[in-house]
Amino acid sequence: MLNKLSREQLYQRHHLSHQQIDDFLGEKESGNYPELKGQILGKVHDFRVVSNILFDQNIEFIPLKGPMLSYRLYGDMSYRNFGDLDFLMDRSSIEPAIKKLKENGYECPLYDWHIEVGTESQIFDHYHHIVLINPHSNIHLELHWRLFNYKFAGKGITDEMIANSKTSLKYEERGFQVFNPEFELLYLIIHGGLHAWQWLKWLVDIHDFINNIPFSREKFNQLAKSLDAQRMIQVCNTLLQDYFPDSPLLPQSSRTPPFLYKYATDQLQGIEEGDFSLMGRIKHHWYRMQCFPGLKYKWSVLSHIFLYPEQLENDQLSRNRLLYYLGGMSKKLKRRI
Amino acid sequence: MRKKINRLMIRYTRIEDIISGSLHDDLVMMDIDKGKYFALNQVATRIWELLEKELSFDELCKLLLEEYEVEEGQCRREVEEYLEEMRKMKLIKVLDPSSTLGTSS
Repeated sequence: MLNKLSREQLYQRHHLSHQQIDDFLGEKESGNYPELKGQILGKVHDFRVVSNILFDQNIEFIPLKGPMLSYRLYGDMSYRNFGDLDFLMDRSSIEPAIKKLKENGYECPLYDWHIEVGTESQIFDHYHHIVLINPHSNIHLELHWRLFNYKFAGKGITDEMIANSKTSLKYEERGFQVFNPEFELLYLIIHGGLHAWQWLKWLVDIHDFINNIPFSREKFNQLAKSLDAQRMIQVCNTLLQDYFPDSPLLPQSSRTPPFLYKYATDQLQGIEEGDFSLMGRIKHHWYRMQCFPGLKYKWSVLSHIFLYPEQLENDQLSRNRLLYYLGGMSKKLKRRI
Repeated sequence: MRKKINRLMIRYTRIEDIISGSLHDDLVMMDIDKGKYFALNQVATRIWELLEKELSFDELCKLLLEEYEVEEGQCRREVEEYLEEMRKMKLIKVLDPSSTLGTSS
């Protein structure tokens, strides 16, 4: 199915790099786009700068996806396209990290980080990252204190789970903390699944991960079970069969939910990225509600649809929790959900 | 004689914190200060790879002669050109123990 898509579609619509496109189309055209390779290298430089700042401040972090995933999959941080730089860290590290990054020229365009009485729980409980921007390179940096806002298996991904899922990866004489292969793979599946596999790039990540990186199926199964992630794995497997018929598959215990598979297929095959009409948004929210079982999960999705603004912004927080919720609802209603 | 001995003592190595990525058989590098990229062809890429370790000019030529079908004289001439170009682009360090300055790049 991949070879029915043009290079232009695979690059623009599905965010694959030209080198990845060469791999799947069996072509050798990426040498015609050295300037695009140069652009990715510029972002790799930004990743290095930010990493060095965090290392120098003794701030522990885990890079999410982006250049580190590219390095794990291909041995080259610039092989795979990426947009933002994402770093996961403990919530106590967020403020010192922002302070140091601001000293190095980064800006907080949406929320000028500050925690007042009554707002700390609002920030850390209802959001999972803050956005910074490098005004020179225009690269967006996201500092995450949580991977997802949703409560899979009633509790979400806990700090303890992350602590037990770390390993070390050496890059240019530095030891980076990364997720172990089983957790990284599950994280990528959940991330891609929650976005309904809108970009083929995310499915390619899974395909290349399964094919290039050894992982324990037993450990993966245990993790998946602990997060009730079977539906996400089932949809991922079916899409892998569609786009990569010869690919090994993930361990799966039951059949794929038809609605989730159809919705994800429609997103993948759509000419445009996403349907932002009212009906399109409703369908997307309904899809997200079905991604995991359990009432706590569904309530966490509904809360983020109706109550909490999507981004942490300066005018959002209020000491009065009721005003805060009303503010979130009103913004959502203005955007017609 | 002194010049010949000096040349034998000169060693080359690459500068490690250059941002680079492979593109087929070529290597694309980023000059962050100038915001420009440039590409090394296949031979220059191989020289760059070999200079992960310090090598003298003769050691480098010997390794390349093992890999490429080329006449020795031509190899030495071209390697000299590549090394000079890479030195000017600040991709490699030239380590001359006889120089009062120590290293130059």
